[in-house]
Amino acid sequence: MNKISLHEALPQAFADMATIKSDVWNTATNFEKGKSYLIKAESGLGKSSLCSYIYGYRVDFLGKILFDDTEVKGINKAQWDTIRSRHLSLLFQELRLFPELTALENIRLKNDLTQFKTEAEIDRMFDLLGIAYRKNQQVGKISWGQQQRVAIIRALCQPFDFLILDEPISHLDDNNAHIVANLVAEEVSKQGAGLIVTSIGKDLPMDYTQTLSL
Amino acid sequence: MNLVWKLLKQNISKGQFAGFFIANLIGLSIVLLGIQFYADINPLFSEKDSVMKRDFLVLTKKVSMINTINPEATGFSQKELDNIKNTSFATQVGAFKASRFKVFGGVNFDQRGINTEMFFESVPDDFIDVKTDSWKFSPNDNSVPIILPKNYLDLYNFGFAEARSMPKISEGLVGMVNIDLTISGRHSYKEFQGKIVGFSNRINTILVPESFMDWANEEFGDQAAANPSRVMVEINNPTDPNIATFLSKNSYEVEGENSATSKMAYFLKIIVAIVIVVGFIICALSFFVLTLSIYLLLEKNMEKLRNLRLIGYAKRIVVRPYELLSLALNLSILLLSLIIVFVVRTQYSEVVRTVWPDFEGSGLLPSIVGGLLIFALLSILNILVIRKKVE
Repeated sequence: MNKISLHEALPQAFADMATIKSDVWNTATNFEKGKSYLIKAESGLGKSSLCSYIYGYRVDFLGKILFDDTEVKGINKAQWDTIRSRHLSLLFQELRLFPELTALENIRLKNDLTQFKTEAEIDRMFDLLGIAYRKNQQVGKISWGQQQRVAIIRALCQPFDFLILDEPISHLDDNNAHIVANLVAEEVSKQGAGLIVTSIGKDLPMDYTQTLSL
Repeated sequence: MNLVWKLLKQNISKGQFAGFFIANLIGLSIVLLGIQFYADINPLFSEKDSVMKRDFLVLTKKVSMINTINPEATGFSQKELDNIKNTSFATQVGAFKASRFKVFGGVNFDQRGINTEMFFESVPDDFIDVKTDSWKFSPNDNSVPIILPKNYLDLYNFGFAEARSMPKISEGLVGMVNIDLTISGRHSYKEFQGKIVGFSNRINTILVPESFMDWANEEFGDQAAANPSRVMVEINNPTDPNIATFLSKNSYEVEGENSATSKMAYFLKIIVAIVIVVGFIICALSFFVLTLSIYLLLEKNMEKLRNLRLIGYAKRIVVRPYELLSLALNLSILLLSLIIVFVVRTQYSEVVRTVWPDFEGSGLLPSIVGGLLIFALLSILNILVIRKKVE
């Protein structure tokens, strides 16, 4: 997958807003592999909807979204399984971790599937993000900011052509935001992937190829 | 798989599953016991004695003053035979043929022997309740197969031999004795070897093949042919109330209480059928309990299932724990109920042997096959329900 392109895409909920001013909705937009994009928006303009359309778990939009030349609405469930473990990685805004499992188990659950990172690499990420001491605690019992970092590690535990981060640092301090930015930049460049980051004001500090406002 | 299972086993209600387990265990055990018992007991009513499988009545006319004065009236006329044939309960009617020639029979042991005047009767071969290949006759043979009433042997073994402390005689031993027969009439005679080929539980007379009877009556018969005095009627349902009405209306009598066994067989079938149906109902209900439990479990874990699918887990992997869970439950129920059947069967086998010493049973195959079928059916339905529920 080298390109994600949107053609006149618009959430059905926005259909009656005739003149929407957006760099993404109701126009033609391309996200290319190897480049990085920041999507800025106030809340309620459809950031998470965009992520869910691209990640294939919601289809309530008008227009088209294409992976290269394939329309996402035509991709079947088994193909999505492959895409979600080999081509696309998404950091959910609501994280979608499993609160009953420990932080490490949450990561392993993903890594068992992809077999992408070694134990040592996972340990290094925990250390870098300063949550190594929380590794064996149930995710439901640690703070949201810590959970956010666990979810970021999970998002990096797979091969991807595009990494999508939905408000990745909403609950992190500036120091941790920089650490996350460095870790993400390192992984994205190693994989030669594209990066799409959304923000409602607190941007993940990086040099973006393009900044779009939703 | 370990972590997926750790995640998805959350919210499993042990109480619900225990309820399902017990209910289905009871249901399946009842069904399998019914099947097994029926398979074990059925030969008693069918294979050993073909006439028991079918239901027969032997009809005679009441002996009264009129018969004594006019012997013709004792027999069944063709019109009466047709009349019986046309009733709703009769499926087949066979008349007894009596010998119209003289028969002398004798048995010789060393120097001693007994000789007696005898008589023969015959019925159509289809009504014979003894299984044997030697039930045939052709004019070139000089041996004739004979079937005696079982009563004769019992009378000797349990009456005479018991009282005189004489050895009892088995059916096989009797078969080795030859009876010297002399058939005469129309100023000629012929000698035969009579071979006892079996004992009948149902037909209370000395039977020879109908082919022999026809031939001998033709050759030696010196009395006029008379109407048959007894007829055998095959009936489709021994509990049909029309039978009693018909018999009393025509003043016919039923010989012996022969229909008791067939009635027993009939009721046995009904009772076993009821038991099996009840078992199936319990099974069906317990299946619904399991299906509901699984539904509830899936519903409670739906968020986890969705999230697993969203991080890239394939549907077959996330449903597998539940499929394995129901398979394991069903399989352990199958094994346990087969053990129960086995244990109960050894118990009732002893009881059955006290009344039926030859009881062997039919092996555990019927309940194993039945159990496997139900297991497969339930498991497939469970798996379909699970796959349908998870997106």
